This record gives sequence, C-alpha cells and structure tokens, in this order.
Amino acid sequence: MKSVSILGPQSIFIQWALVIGLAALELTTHFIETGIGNYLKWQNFQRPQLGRIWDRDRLSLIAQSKVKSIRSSMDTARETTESYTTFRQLLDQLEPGYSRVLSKEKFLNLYFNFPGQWTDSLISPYDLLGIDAGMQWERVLIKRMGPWISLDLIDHDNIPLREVFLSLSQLETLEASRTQNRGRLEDAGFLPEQIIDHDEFLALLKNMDPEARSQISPPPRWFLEKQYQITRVGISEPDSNAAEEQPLKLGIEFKTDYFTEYLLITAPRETANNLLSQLEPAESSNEKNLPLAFPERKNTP
Amino acid sequence: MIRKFSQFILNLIYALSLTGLLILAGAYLALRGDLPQLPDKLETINLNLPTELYSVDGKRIQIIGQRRPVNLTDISSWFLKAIVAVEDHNFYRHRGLDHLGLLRALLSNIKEGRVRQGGSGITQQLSKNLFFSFERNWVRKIKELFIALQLEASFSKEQILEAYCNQIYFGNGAYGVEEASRTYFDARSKDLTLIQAALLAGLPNSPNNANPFSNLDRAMKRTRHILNRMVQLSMISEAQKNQALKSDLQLATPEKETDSNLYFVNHVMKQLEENYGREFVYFGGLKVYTTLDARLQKIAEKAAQAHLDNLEKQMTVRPGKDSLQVALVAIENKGGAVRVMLGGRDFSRSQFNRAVSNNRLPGSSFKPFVYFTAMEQLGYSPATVVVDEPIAFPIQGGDPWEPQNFSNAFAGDLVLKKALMRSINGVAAQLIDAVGPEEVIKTARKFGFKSPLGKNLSLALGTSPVSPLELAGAYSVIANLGIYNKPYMIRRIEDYDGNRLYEHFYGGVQRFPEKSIYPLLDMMKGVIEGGTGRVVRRMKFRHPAAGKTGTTNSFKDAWFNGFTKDLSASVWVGYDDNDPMIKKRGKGLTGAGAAAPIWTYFMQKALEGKDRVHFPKPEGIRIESIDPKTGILFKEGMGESLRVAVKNETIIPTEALKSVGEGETDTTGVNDADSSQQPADMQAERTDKALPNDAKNADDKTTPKLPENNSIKENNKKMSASELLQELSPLQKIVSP
Repeated sequence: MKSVSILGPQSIFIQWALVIGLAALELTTHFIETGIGNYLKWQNFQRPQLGRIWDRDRLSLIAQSKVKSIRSSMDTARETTESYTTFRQLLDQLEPGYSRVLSKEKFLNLYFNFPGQWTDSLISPYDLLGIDAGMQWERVLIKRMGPWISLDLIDHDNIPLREVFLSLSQLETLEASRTQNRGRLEDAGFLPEQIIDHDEFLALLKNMDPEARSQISPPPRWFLEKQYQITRVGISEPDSNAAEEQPLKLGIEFKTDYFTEYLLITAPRETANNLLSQLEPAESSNEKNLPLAFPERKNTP
Repeated sequence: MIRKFSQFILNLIYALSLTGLLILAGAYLALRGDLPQLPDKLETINLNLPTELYSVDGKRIQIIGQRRPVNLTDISSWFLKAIVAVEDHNFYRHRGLDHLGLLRALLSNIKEGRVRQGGSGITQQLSKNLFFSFERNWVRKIKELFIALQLEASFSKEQILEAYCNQIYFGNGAYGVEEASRTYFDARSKDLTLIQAALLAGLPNSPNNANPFSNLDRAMKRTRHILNRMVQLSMISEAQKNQALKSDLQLATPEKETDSNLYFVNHVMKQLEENYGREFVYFGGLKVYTTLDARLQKIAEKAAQAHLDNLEKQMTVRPGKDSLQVALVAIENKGGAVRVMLGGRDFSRSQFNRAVSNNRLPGSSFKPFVYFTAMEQLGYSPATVVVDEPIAFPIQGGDPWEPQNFSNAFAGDLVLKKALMRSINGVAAQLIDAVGPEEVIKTARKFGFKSPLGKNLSLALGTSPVSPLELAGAYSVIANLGIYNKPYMIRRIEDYDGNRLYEHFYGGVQRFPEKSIYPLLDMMKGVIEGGTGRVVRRMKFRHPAAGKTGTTNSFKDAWFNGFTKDLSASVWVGYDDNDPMIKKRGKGLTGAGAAAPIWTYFMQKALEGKDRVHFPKPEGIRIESIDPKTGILFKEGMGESLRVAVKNETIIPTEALKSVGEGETDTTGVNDADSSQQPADMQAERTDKALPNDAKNADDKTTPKLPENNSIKENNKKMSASELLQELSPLQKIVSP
C-alpha cells in the first residue's frame, strides 16, 4: 500500500526541516528545559518540603523555638522576682530546693524598702557598702535548702562575693512580719475606738527610746522618701484569752499618691502597753475615743 | 531508496523523541511526590546561626555550623572563572542540562554498567547539595535533573553560582568559598590569587584527595590541570598561567584537627546534646562559655607529650601496637570548674576520651578514701599505729586473698600517715576489712564517685575502675576541706542576641567536716614530702601540695592525683590495650615515674608566678610530732619524727606502750587508751594468722596488743576519739592533752 502524504514528495524535506529547526531551537533557546523548569516552578508550592535544606530549616525552627521557650521561662521567672514588693514575700515564696536570681538594684530596693530595720539583721548595710565598693557585685542568688536560705551576692561570673545564711526562723520574728496593704485601718479589722490621730502617735514616738521606737514604726525616712502621709494609727484590742506575751498589732495608715494604705506592725506587748499608757484618756477628747490602756489582765504581775 | 532511508531516520527520531517524552513524563509522574519544594530565595539557605564555644580565657575554641556566605561580587573573579572552567564550562549557555556533557556521561555510564560519571553541571550539583543524598543512582540523578531545571527557571545564573560557591564543600571542614579561602590561605575569597583560585576550584571534585594540607603534590597537579583548562577556554593566557605557577601559593598553616581542646569540646557537646537535644546545639546559634582554660590545656598537652616521648625511648618496643596514652583532668577547687581535660595524647590519632572513661583501675589512688572512712568510722587518726605484715583474707570458694606490697616487703609497725605515704597495701586491706566495703563505698559516693564500685576488700587497692575526672573531682573535695562542688564544664549559654539561657551557679556542699578532712589532707601532703610522690619535690615543685600515687597490677596503669590549694589534677598513663608498661631494663612504670612528672610539670607551669598558698588549718586541729613507728609523741633523741595533723581531741601517748604479753599496762588502762588508735579487727586478724615465726616474734616485741576482750574491741570500733577520752578519763593524767 502506498503511503499518502499531505505535503506530497516535499514532506520529508519539510519533516527534516522541522526536526532540524526544532533541534536548533532547542540548542539555542533550550525551550524544552525551560518549559519543564517553568512547569515545575508552577507546581512548586504543591510539592513537599523534603531534603537536606528543609530538614535543616525544620531543625533550625525547633532549635529556635526551644531557645524561645527557655527565654520565656527565664523571663517569667525574672518578672515574678521583679514583682515582689517585699523582701519577706520573696523569701516566703521560695520553694525548697529552688533558687531565684535578683538584680542588685531589685535587692537593694527590697532591702531598703522594708519598713523597719529587720533587713539589717540579715546583712549589715555597711557590709553591702563594702561589697559594692569592689565594683563587682551584680546580682543576688537566693537559695532555699531545708531550714536555711542562703543569699549569695555574686559577680558577673556568678562567683559569690559574700554568702549569707539565714534560718527560716528569722522570717518568723516580729520584725520580719511587717506588711504593707492597700485599704483603711478598718479593713484590717481595727475598731473605731482603737484608732488615734497621727499627731498623737508621732508625739509619743518622739518621746520613746530609740529601740522601742524601732519596734513600732519604721524610721520617718521610710514615709518621707516615698511621700506617704500618715493619717491615723490603730492599735488592736488584745484577746482576753491570749497569752500575756502575745504581741499586739499596730496599723499605721497613710496616703500614697493614689491610694490609702496601711502598714501592719506586730509589736511586743510590753512596748505596745508602754505606748498606750502614755496616751491621753479617751474622755479628754471627743474625737479621740481610744481607751487609755488595755484593761489590766488578771495575770499581769 | 534515499527517501526511504531518510524517512526511516525521521521515524526513528520521532520514536526516540516520543519514547524520551514518555519516559520523562512517566518519570515525572512517578517521582513528583518525591520532588522537593524549592525555597523562595537561595540567599536564605546559608543563614544558619553557628554555635560557638569559648574558653574561660576568652578564646573561641570551636564553631559548629560555621558558614560565611558572600556575595558573588565578593568572590575573586579568578575563582569564578576557574570553577566554571572545571565544573561546568557551558554553565552560562545551558538551562540546567548540558546536552553534550550528559551524552558523554551517559555513554560512559552505559559502558561501565554503573553510574560512574555524574555529568552534573553546577546547577545539578547545587540541586544535589541542597536536597539529595550523595548516593549515586539513576533515580536520584533524574530527581536532581528536574530540580536543576526548576532552579534554572526560577533563579538567575548569578544567583545559582553564588549559592553554589557558598554551599559547596572544600574539605577540611570548610563549606563555602569564603571559609575555604580562610582555611587554606588565611585570606578573604575576594583576595584569592590565580593559583590559589585554581587550587580551590579543584577541591569540590575531590575535597579529600586533592587537599593541599594532606597531599600538596596531588593538589598542585589538579591546579595545573585547571589552569590548562582555563587557557583552553581562553579565560586566561598562557603567560598568566605560567606566572601563576611560578607564584607563591601562600598556603596557611593548617588549623590543627589535633587540637587537644577537642576532647573537652566533644564532651561538652555531648552533654549539651543530652540536656537540650541535638538540634538545639547545632542549629541554636548559641554561645557556650565553658570552663576550659586554653592556656592550661596547652600546658597539659605539652607536659604529657614531652614526658611520654621521653618515656617511650626507655620502653620495650611493641611492634604494630599503639604508643603510651595519657589522660589529665584539672579542676579548680573553689567551684568545681574543669579547667583542663586531656583525653589522650593526640586527638587526630585517637578521639577516645580517656579523661571521662571509667575503664581503668585507680590502684592506690583510691586509698585516701579508705583511710578517711576508717578514720571517721573507727576514730583513727594519722598517728594510729597499724601493722604491715603478711595477711590473708579468706575468700569463699577460692584461695585466700593475700595483698602484697609493691616492694614485696613488710614494714611492721607504723602510723597511719606513714602507711599512706608509703602506700602500703596490707594496711589499706586491713582498714577496709575493719570498716566494711559498704562504708567505703558510701564515703566514696559522698566524694563524688559515680562509677560502680565493687563491694569487696580489694576495693581498697583500687580494683573498681573510675575515670580521671571522677578522681580529680574527689581529690578536689579533700583540697576544699570537705566541700563538694560538682565538676562542671559550662559556665553559661547565651543565645545569638546575648540573652542568658543557662548559667552555672556555685553550689558547694560541705559533705565532710573540715576538721575530719584536714588530717587526711595532711597525710597526703606527706606522700609528696616524703612518700611515694616525693618525685614532685625532687622536680622542684615548691607549692604546698598533697597527692597520692597509684600503680595497678603488672604496671598496667600509672596514676598521680594531687592538688594545691586552688587546683586539683589527676593524671593517668597506660596502654589502651591494657598491656603492662615495662621498660627495656625490665622495670615497670609506676605512678611516680610515669604520671607524677606530668602532674608536676603541668602544675609548675600552671602556677607559674602565683603565690604559694598554704592549706588553711581549720579550728580544732593541732600539729604534733610523733615517732612514726610507735605513734608516741616525739622527744629529743628518738630518731625519726613525723609531723601529723590530728583533731584536738585525739590522744597521742607520750610513752611507748608495752605489749599485753608483758602484762604491765593492763591495770592502768594505758593499753586500752592506745587501742583506741589500733584497729581491733586488724589485731584479731593478726593473732589468727599463721605467720613465719621470725616475723611473728619480731612483731610481738614492738606492737602493743589488745586485751582479748570482745566488748572493748566493739567499743573501739564504735566510739570516736573524744568519746573514748571521756570513757577513759582516769587515763588523762598520763596521756597528752
């Protein structure tokens, strides 16, 4: 059978011309590779992220997320530490076997912010001055181990410049129990007849011996520096069933920039009685209705 | 006819083209699931942050995942020309597939019957490097080709070449041309000369074979080939080629793969991987600040190398076997920072870290912990008199164990300090027998030993393998007067921005009272001043120091462990195959001969220019001079004296005691007092043993014996010296205060 060609006898030449033309076109323009390449490029987003470069990318992402997670947990710990407002709170909330790191600034802030001289008993401010003079002190590491808390004053390389140990029992002393709270004395449970005016209290303070004074109030500097204006002072009624030595609670109310706050101070009963005995009788003033002193207890010698 | 033939050829071309097209389509359909996605930018592929390790003296000791990507404009044009000439001279003309190159490779591979030639151009090599394994097979080749075609369609030639130059491996741990330039020529890639560029361009094809550090001739041969190729392709002139060949290559000094820091580095990396995972270490872009002191590490390496070289000249030849090996660990006592970790003699020859491996026996290096246990448990002091004599411990179902001394001689009566100074095996065995191996193990754990310790009497002679790191850590507890600091190697880890992710805080724990440790420390000072470790003083090491030698059976292990106030170091020397270390003259190597000189040289250099710091004597300790044989207070005319540190409550007799056999002291109780310093069980053992008559007689003459009263023996075991003092109050007038 004879083959039929549309182009007639010229068809072979045309075919050769086409083949050669296409080959030449391919060799000069690489249209096949370009076509395949572009098709693959078009399909690119549908393909999986396989191979070494993507594995590396994934591992890099895992690593970076781990770095982020460590950073965030460290930031949380730092923020928690920074959020403490009192030294006592910081030490109280330290779990056994755990440690916290404070910046020197935060430590000093808590140290000098404590309403009273209790922190001096942990480490003398003169010792702090001496350590700071070495210009190496950067942070404080606080650790709790069983019944002990250690404060390591450390340098940039975490080398301890000074180590202070304190027993947990030191947190239970009267001096350590002072707390600052928002609210009025009445919120703390003081009855109206237990509250006196600040003038009266300050007048008494002025005449007390320094030791007794420090037992019932922070130094004036504490209020003045923070711009706390004292308004009233409350002295809690003792429980008649309470033991003779049980301490009494004093509340010093003051105004801050925006709020009214009070400082709760646990004072030895002897000092509190001494203070109360010097107060004027309640009858002497219509406004001041505080009892002269707490009723003498039967078992008081 | 011509027409028919022509048509046949055309049909063949059609058939081949169709077949090719079908194969291509089939291959694509079959492989498209395995074809990887391409990233949007090629520049981002090198953006891995490297992890860097720093020594305590601020030196960068290791970089992991180091890449130095550079722009094409920052690469020498010589290099660009050379790499194109040798790897893919049609690079700028094709679109991912060099037809002729592929045809050539295809024919060659069909002829060989396996994939021998890649026929890969630069784009295909980049494709392989980014996505595929280095295994050579057809399927991978096709995938590689597809990706190369897509790379060409997606990126410019310049972008592809730049990515290639930054990605390719040049050997010697160098990825990318910039890193390679710095590694081989200590130069920036933009400053490469023609010959340097040609040499580098020859490396990607055979990074190990043509490595100029290991085979300069082969590297130069390949360089010449590349220069010729450049001339052929008219990239350079013949004159330029000749000039280049005459020019100086300026090859850099190879950064030593033998760097001994790598023992430490690898151990730290292992620790990091265990704690945080591999990806965190290799892709975290961390800055790890370690405790390693690169200066001290260098000194340790030098000390070990010098002494071992010297020793090996004296050793019997071991044809075909490895040379002597060494391990050295130094720990700073104050906090437990590991300052030196030398895990072997030459890292390039053996990466096995002997410093942390617990497969060698410590020998007598373990004795201090046995002595300490005995002193604590039995109320002994360094002045307690013990007897060194032949003894045998029955072993169930076996021959009795008869510990022998190094010299095969027995010293008779001597005080505990002297026994440790002379490293007497019999005494250590008697002590562990008296307290029990369990007690010794308990004590050892408190000193920081983590390795399994055998519950047997031979533990006293160091038959349970421990690592040099453990020993250095345990000795550092003694140097620290009982404070245990866990040895640590990482001071802090920071992320790339300098945020601290981890930091080490000092956490020393007083494991033993200072007053209990100091007498042991003083005994160990004696080892160096006049005991088995006196070579340290003979080598003119003047700093106050204490230590202990150790040599195991048949001279398989030689140890010296010692410390000054600030630094504790442990040195081990031995053969990896556990062969005895025997000198040509037939003598074996001991701790004093093989390890102590390394320790001394290291310490001398490490403490150069530093003050001599004495160990602080704690409260409740007094120093006495005694007679080392009888343990009584030293008096003028007595001959040899020995200074011992004892607790204040320790009673040191002022008069020589007479034996029970002579029956003179029973009524006064003086013997009882002295027996507080005499191991009761040991005495019992002594009397039970069958000794040569002369030895026994000689012994009887000088050694006080315990009364055969079991209750007293029991008391002696349980009471401390102070309790005993109270118990024996009538004696106080005749014993020293």
